[in-house]
Amino acid sequence: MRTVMRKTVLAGILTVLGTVFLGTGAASADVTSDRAAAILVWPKLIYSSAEDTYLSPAGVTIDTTIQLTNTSDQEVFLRCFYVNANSHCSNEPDRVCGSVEDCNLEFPNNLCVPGWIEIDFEINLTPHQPVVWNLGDGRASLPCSDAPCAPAGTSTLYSNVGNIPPANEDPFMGQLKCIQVGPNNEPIDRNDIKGEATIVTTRPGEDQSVDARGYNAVGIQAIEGANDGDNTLRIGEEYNSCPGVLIMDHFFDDAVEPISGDFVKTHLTIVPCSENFELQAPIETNIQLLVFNEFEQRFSSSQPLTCFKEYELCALGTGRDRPLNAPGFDDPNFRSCQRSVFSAFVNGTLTGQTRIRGTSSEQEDVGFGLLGVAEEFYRRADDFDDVTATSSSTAFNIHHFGVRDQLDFIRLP
Amino acid sequence: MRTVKWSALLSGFCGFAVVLGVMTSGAHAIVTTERGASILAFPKVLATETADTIIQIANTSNNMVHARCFYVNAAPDSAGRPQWQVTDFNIWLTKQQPTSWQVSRGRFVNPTDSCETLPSGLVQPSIECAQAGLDPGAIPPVPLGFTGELKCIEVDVSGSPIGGNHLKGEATIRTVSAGGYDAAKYNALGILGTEIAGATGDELLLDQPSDTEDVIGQYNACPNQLIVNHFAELATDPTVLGTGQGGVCEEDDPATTSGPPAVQPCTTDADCPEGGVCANGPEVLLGPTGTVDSLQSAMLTELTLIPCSQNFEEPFTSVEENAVTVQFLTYNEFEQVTSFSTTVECWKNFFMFQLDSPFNPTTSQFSFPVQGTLGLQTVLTPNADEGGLLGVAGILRADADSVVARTLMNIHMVGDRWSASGGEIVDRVILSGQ
Repeated sequence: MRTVMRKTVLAGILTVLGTVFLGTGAASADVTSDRAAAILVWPKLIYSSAEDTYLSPAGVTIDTTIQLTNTSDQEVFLRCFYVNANSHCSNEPDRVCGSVEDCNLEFPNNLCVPGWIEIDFEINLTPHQPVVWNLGDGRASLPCSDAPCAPAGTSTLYSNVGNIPPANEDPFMGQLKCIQVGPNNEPIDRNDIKGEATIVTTRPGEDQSVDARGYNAVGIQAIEGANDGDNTLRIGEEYNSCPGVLIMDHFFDDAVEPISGDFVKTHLTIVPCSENFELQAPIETNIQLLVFNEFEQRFSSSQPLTCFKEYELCALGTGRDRPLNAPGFDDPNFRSCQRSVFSAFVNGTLTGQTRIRGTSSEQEDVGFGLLGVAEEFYRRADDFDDVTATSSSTAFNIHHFGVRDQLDFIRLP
Repeated sequence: MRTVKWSALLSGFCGFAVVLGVMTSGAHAIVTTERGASILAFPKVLATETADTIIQIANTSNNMVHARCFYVNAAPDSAGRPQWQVTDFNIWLTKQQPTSWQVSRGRFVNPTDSCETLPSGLVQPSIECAQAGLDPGAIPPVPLGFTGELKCIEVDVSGSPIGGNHLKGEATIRTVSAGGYDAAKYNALGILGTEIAGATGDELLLDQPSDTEDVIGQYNACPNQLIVNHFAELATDPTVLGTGQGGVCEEDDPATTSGPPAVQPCTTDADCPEGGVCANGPEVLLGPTGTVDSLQSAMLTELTLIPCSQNFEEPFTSVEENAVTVQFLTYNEFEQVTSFSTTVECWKNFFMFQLDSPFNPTTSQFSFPVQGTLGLQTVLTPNADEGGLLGVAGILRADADSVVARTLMNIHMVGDRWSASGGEIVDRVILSGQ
């Protein structure tokens, strides 16, 4: 009987040991766009007023409606960072450009120079509070700023503190990152926030006078008990790792969508997981792409990435960006885009699957994980030569696969 | 006595071995819209007179993958009741192969379909060659008027369910609009399988909890709650409003003003100077049965929900058994809370206002006139003794000309039903026999 008891105890110990051993490796490692998180990334924000003629024709307005929500029953504090990723012409500093063709080439040596400006703000959200603002307007006061609010069933009052600035330039193209912190601005290990963005275009007088596309903010979850509270956020140690590979299913560029007969194009916006807001030093990396068509044929491509980039998909295969506002047969790159490995003219199938990853390096203080979002733009058959003649658009979150071996870092000021 | 001793030892080693075995699996125990999975759910698939859907599915692995797929048609029959008609088919995808089809046309096996080759050596994209590529198998077209869902389950070559987690998918819904066709897209919901997925044959158990990587169940349990961020019903989209494409104030007596009138956006007459009228403000026109016939300067949120549990073997008799009653808690920007409930049988698509005020959206607790804030957060919680739900949210936004733009958003998820119920609630997907 005594023997039985000892063996039973031994058995229990073995099981417990195994469980404990396993428990140490059980940290989930997902970056997610469908769960609340501690860090939210909106990879693409855009604002272009009716007066701007660089990102949209005159009279057309594009703005991004941002939704941010506290999913918990506790107050949350946030530090948020817009990154204005506009490029400007070297000899026309007020002129925003997508490629050198957007600049006045009568100026000698006029170049399209990339630029990155960080604008930060701090706000709090009361329990379960959703807030909404337009990038072009910001939000001068939050809902419970003027008079405190009380969650249902409690007598505790909560006030909103802080405000949200509007885009600092017209047009504006860039990203937003928000980090959940404690009351003393120290990063904490809670996963309470979620977000969405909807890019809305109004085109007065056109048949489709309003268009919208939306996506979920990408969330990076904090690992419980792992956060040291300093201003260097170690993604992969204090927070879940960034994905090893991004996987995007897409229509090939200039494919004919069979329901409507519209031509379809895909834009891919990529931002690095790492960010240095303290020194405002942009992260530079290379992205590697593998594309598979429906014949199981595989092609590859690569592109440089600095801080933020919206790629026209076919430009990933040709290495040339088309001008923002000089589309069609006048654009010298128009035909060459058809020769991209992302073009339906090359692949001969409607859809493809592309795997995207940042290349690794031996640097230990910076990582090269990537996050992104995809957009599809549809244009009617009679607008074939005008790639900006969008009749409708949609956006979607990109899938993730695996995790990065290398840490990523977000450095806060 | 000897037997007892051996049993005790054996149980210990088994426990240790199981736990060690788990270490290598690394299954992430959540339902996801952004990872390869073993069960794909497309909650909203349409093939009506005004809308059609393109399904995209890809194999994310370097091995061939097989899947059994099931359409469920929830369109009303001649008596006005949902049909719950199930149609199934098989697909197989070579390594990393993406595939796609238009649901109203299906995709038949035709090795010769290809695009015309141009003199330049490039091929000419066209509708006729939309099905070029390796055919994934014969995919039937759905009947006209189809409104329902699609589920695909990863299986092995013999048709037995497996937890490979190699499938991902997207659905693009194109709807006839003023400017041609509007586009909205969402990611398929993925339910990851573990290494013991398929252990109970065609009865798939969704019983893997989210807070552990130990292999306890076959497939990840469904979320315990869904969280939808949305806009108040009948609020005007802020970009539409700000650009004067929504309601605008009209002066009581235009003759008293000189020069061209300044555009002043409004949602009600109260937003205008005294005596002014808000013209083309938010309005929704409903048909006799409560359908939305027209929308002006306003937004509406449309939810599509399906129960996690599904019985493809007995689709008609299991509807009531798998129905889920769900509680809604809605928070506005002032933290004010309202609550509602509804029951989801097999497939349910509805606008938020239809929950409490189906024939007068203005008085709905979800409406902008009642809530007074643009942003709302709604938490959906199934009843404690019932299974989980999956879904997708659509936002309709219209301008003053009643031109509508649609978006589809994946819904956020919280926790899992299995853990929340202490392991008592297990959602089941039962496949039909082959």
